[in-house]
Amino acid sequence: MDVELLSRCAELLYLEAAYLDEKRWSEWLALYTEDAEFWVPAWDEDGQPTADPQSQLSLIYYSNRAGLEDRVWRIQSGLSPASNPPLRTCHLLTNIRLTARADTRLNVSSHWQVQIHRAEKQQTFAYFGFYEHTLRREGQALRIAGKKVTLLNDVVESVLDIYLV
Amino acid sequence: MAQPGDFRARRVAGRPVILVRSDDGQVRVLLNTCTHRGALVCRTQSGNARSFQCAYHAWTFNSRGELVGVPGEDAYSLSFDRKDFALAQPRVDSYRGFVFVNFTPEGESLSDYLAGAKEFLDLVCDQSEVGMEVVPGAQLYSMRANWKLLVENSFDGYHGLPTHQRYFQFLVETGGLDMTERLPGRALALGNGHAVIEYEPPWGRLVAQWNPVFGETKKAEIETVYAKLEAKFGAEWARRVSRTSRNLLIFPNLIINDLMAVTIRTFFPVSPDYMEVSAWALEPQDESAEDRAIRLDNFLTFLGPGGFATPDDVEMLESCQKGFANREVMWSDISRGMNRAEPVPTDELQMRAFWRRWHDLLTLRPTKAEAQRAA
Repeated sequence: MDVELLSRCAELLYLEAAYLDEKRWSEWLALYTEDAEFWVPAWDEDGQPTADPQSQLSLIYYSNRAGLEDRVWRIQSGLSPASNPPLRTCHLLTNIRLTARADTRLNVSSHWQVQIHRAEKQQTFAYFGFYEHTLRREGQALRIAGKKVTLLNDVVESVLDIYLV
Repeated sequence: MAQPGDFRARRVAGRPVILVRSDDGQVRVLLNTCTHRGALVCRTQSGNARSFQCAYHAWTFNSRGELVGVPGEDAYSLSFDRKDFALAQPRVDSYRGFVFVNFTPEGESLSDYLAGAKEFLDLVCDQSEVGMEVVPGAQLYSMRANWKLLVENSFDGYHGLPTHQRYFQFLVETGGLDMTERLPGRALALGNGHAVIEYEPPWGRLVAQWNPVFGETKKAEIETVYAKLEAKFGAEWARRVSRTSRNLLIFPNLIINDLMAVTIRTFFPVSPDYMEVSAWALEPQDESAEDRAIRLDNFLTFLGPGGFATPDDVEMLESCQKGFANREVMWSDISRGMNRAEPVPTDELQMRAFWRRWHDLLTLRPTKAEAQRAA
């Protein structure tokens, strides 16, 4: 096993989590390639996550980074009541594994939990599940070219957003 | 649910039921409660089954709900008759593929109950020649608000711009949407508490109103769809199917919003200030892969707990629920449009229709039809 490579992947995932928790949106977006797909499947009648965002229902799906940029734009605008004030979050990541590697592509799976606090509602809850990141080597750098989020809570607590999972 | 034995286990009004196509081809709803000691006889959400066997003592019921297996049956007295232990079945009927149950053994028919809402279900279903289908996957979410607030919100044309300012700005900037015009349309009470707003939306519809968002290449295709609808249904019905959107309430808690994408939404109160919501996407069975992807993209952009609009609605409804803590403010005002002979979608006639029926039920006042029957 390539310990150094794995630790670089883990470092990137931790950095992403830190940017989300600290609401450093432009730095977060810069971790993603322009063609990065972002997908949170819904759950189907058989208790399985949906398998295809083009033909089945999802919770969130963007085929490229422009969708994530729209989300950030909405959060920052101050005009979305659900995003203002933003919720406090704490991402915890563990069980990080390198599951596949090709020339410039790496697949990394991990387990996550996000503790969330809505201050004005005195409400604390957690989302949890699995990440499957697709990473791309660009020279010496590693960037995120895809992120699939399996949200194991199948009933969303009022809101879901890119920084809550 | 095309094949005999196909089933879905669901909760309806908080009760566990099984919707099943029985071996005789008929669709039945069976109460998912073992007639022996009460456990769920079906503990999977969906599948195909010849029979349902309770996991507790293995009593077995066929797809018509009849008791067909009792381990150690000789231990029961001679008066024990399997026929007395069939799974209970509420009344069930369907309209355009929407299956409804009624837990009271007697009362009006589904057709009478739906009243004027049938016309609007027809408008939704006539979008496809071969029929509509629910896309796999459900969006499940909860809200810390009273369920009736979501009824109001689901067809509230007045809140669109203030609550969803960001979303509409997004639509304007991503192409083709003119939000400066008021939406031409109407609000209607449909009887029995059902109500609708119907309007000419500024967004495009794959069935069948072209919009720059779709690109020039789809223009001819969308015109063909429109021409087919016109040939089949005539100009007026084709216009309404294609060029109007509708937010429909089937009293008390079924919403069908036919925007660019169609969502089916139902919700149940868990407590006075908390509800659980289920939402699905309804799409033409025969649509192309490309059209399905476009509709789903529109659905997810606007709707659901991870969309651009729904979270803001949820936030405002939770905000109302918090505001209600001040009991000195005793009333919500929904008088908007009472000065107009023909209320429009940004008025509140549709909410008054819901609340009047709600009030009648709480005060046990009979509907017109019930009063006529009694007379």
